[in-house]
Amino acid sequence: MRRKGGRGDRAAERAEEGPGRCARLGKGAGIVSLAAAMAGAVPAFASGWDLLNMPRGVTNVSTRIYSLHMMAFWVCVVLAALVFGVMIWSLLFHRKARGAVPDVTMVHNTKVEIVWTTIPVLILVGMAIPAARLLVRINNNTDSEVSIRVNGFQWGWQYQYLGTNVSIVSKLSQSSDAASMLDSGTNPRSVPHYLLSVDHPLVVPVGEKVRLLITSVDVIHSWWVPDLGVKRSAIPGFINEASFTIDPSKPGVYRGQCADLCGRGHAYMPIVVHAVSPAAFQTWLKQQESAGKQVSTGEPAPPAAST
Amino acid sequence: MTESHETAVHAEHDHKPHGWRRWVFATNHKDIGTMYLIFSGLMFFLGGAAAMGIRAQLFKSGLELFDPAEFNQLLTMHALMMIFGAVMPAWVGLANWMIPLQIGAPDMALPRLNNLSFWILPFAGALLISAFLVPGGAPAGGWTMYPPLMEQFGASFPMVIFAIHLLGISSILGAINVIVTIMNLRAPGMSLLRMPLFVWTWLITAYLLIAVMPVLAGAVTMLLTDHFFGTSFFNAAGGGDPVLFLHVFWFFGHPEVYILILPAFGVISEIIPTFSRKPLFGYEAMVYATASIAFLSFIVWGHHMFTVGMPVAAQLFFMLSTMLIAVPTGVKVFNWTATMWRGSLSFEPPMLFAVAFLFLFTIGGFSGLMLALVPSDYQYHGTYFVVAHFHYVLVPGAIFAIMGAVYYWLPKWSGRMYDMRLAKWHFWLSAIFVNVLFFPQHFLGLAGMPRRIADYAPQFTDWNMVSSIGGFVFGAAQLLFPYIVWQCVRSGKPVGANKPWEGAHGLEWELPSPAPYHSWQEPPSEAVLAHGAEH
Amino acid sequence: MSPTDSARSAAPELSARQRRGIRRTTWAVSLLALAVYFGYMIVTFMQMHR
Repeated sequence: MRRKGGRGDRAAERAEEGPGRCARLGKGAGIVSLAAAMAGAVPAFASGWDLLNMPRGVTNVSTRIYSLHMMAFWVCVVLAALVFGVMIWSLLFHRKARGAVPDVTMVHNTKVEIVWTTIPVLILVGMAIPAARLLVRINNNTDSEVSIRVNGFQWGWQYQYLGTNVSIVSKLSQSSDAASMLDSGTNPRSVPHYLLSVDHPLVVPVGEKVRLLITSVDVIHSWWVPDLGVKRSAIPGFINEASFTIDPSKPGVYRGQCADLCGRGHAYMPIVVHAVSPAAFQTWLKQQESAGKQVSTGEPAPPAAST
Repeated sequence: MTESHETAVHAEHDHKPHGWRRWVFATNHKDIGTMYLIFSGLMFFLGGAAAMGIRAQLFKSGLELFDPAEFNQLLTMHALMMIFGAVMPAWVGLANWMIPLQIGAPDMALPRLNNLSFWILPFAGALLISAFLVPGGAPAGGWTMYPPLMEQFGASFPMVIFAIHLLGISSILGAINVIVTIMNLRAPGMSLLRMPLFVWTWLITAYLLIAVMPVLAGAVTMLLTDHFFGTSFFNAAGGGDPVLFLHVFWFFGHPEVYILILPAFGVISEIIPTFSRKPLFGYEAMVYATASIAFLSFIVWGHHMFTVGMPVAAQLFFMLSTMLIAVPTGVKVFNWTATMWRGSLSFEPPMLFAVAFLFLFTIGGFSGLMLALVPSDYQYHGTYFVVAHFHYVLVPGAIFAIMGAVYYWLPKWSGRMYDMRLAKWHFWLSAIFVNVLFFPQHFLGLAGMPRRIADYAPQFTDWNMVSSIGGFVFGAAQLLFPYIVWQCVRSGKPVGANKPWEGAHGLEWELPSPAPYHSWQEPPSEAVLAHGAEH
Repeated sequence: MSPTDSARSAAPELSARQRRGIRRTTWAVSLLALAVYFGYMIVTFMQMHR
């Protein structure tokens, strides 16, 4: 994949994530919310200039991470204003060109030194307490309602809904894949959600605690969806836990990418999460269970390529 | 300077080997220092070329230049060349040049070892770079070399491991030399707490090198035996653990970043007092702060791996220890600020680089503090926010300090003054465009762009373009640097008997410029020592 | 003039105490580096065979 010249024998584009999959859901209760989610998701990326900050996200944890991030940011801004203010004052007013005479007796001052050691310690304690609380909260993965085993491979994700036979292999969508070739001639902006769309997205219910059991079959990957506030390494031979509960009022499509260099296709293993109402989720799951047996069973990854 | 010493110096002046023997068999600390600096400059431009390739590829969304595998090779080699080829040898070169001059020693204590530690480098560097030429190309797993990914690369895998071993041996030998020199060859009366801060920071750095380069050597050796001899240190299928490599690697890796930055603290502590015409504020506090930073650097490695699933208690510990580093680092920044306060400042090129260091390194320190908070780090980890952070501390941090040091001591080395106007151009282009280059990367990372990707979603294009343009101008501006140095050495105006910087102090300024080939043949007297310390 | 001239011309300046100091410090620091190298390998090896 992705070498000069592209493939050429590519069949016509199969159904992308989203609309095609929606249609297969039939007349489920969730179709409305799913369709709404689709519609809402499209204009999410308009211009790049206003992408300046971390997203607030749609889980309790992601919102609290955002607040912690902003708190730390403003503490830094205030400290920077103070320190840079003093520096700039010196640069402006203590110049030789303005006839400033150096005060060579100023070599140290124990009182001042104690103050500027103690105050930072207090500020740090003030930052560490909320961070520690949130950390403990994030790492509580108990009482989950849905458990999904996430299997990273070079290059894609496999999702196994525990307690069911439903298993999804989720890879970069074909439109993105084709456009990502060297000299593909395709403008990435013409491809919907270029590099952030997959063939089969992960479907999860909103309002329920979803627990992920993350591992890998080949090299270290990292499962990251910024809006969910979840990033965990997928390590071959070990299982990591993570969990999230999406705000019930926020069904939608949430996108992320692999966050650990995992070889040639590292940029090409996005994560797409469809958050739907619990009822729609159950309908979808049942449908997958009955239909899914011939579609995609538990076989995860292709063997690792050599580069 | 006493009259007799002056004569002794001139008598020795011509006694140096000529031609290629002077360099190949070099045992003179100045010659070896010069060779280190030239090697470092070469690697800086090679690593910089790789960086230009990276920024060209990322100029816009959609794959344009390199295959993703080639892109990964570029970013891996960029890091290895810059860290092991450019920054570390530059510091060893400066140590070679300056430590004997600053402590009043005739040379490094182990001159032949010094020759060996330098001459390993060109071979190690060539081996590293030739990895591009073997089938399958250079390793593409990042400089962090995480298994099992690292083991997927072909012929270049053992080459790079061998190159790292060689570079590591060179650094260890260099560090041994520095420690032995400082411990044994100080001029009478030069007690530890009278040493210039550049010497202090290098002493501490040398201990860090001794303590962690062997750890890196161990880690890559285990990687090698896993691959070729069937061990399973890092292979889960054989009872090992890939995360163990991360622990061992970062136990090396975090002190390593202080190895890159502590000598910079030393340089800045030399330059700022000179151009403030005022002694350094809180000398002892600076020494203790440096030592605390070095100690803390051994117990914070876990902050590089908050997302790998460590126990919560371990994450808490690493968060708190990391935040603690802000205290001594803050002390240093405050002391530098207090040094400028009520000084009499002038802005020659070394001071410009030092002031830019002060502002921009502090910005990198703030983003480091943000990264220390584990929950936030879950979002920052592996993104361009991290790239922005460590480039802020390494480019306007370590590299600006190296350039400031060269601009500061070049008149001492060559006896000539460089073109100030060009050097100021070099500074302003660098200082402005380093921000254009790296500041937008904070935004990209926060908005969700992972690092080390060969191609990205279109919404990230705008800031990436800004960053790439910044990168190209910054890169081009660096070409001024070798030109300025070359022009200075060849045809700069001789600085004569006076100090080139009126506020400069320290033993090196008690020697004539250029510093004689053999300096401090007789240790400086207490009077010279006192005169050097005077302001 | 020998190429290692610098080292030789520097050497006579050193006192016996300095030479002893250089020898001892070099040994101590070199052994420290070796100890770290093998120490880390052994600890990792034990970790693997837990």
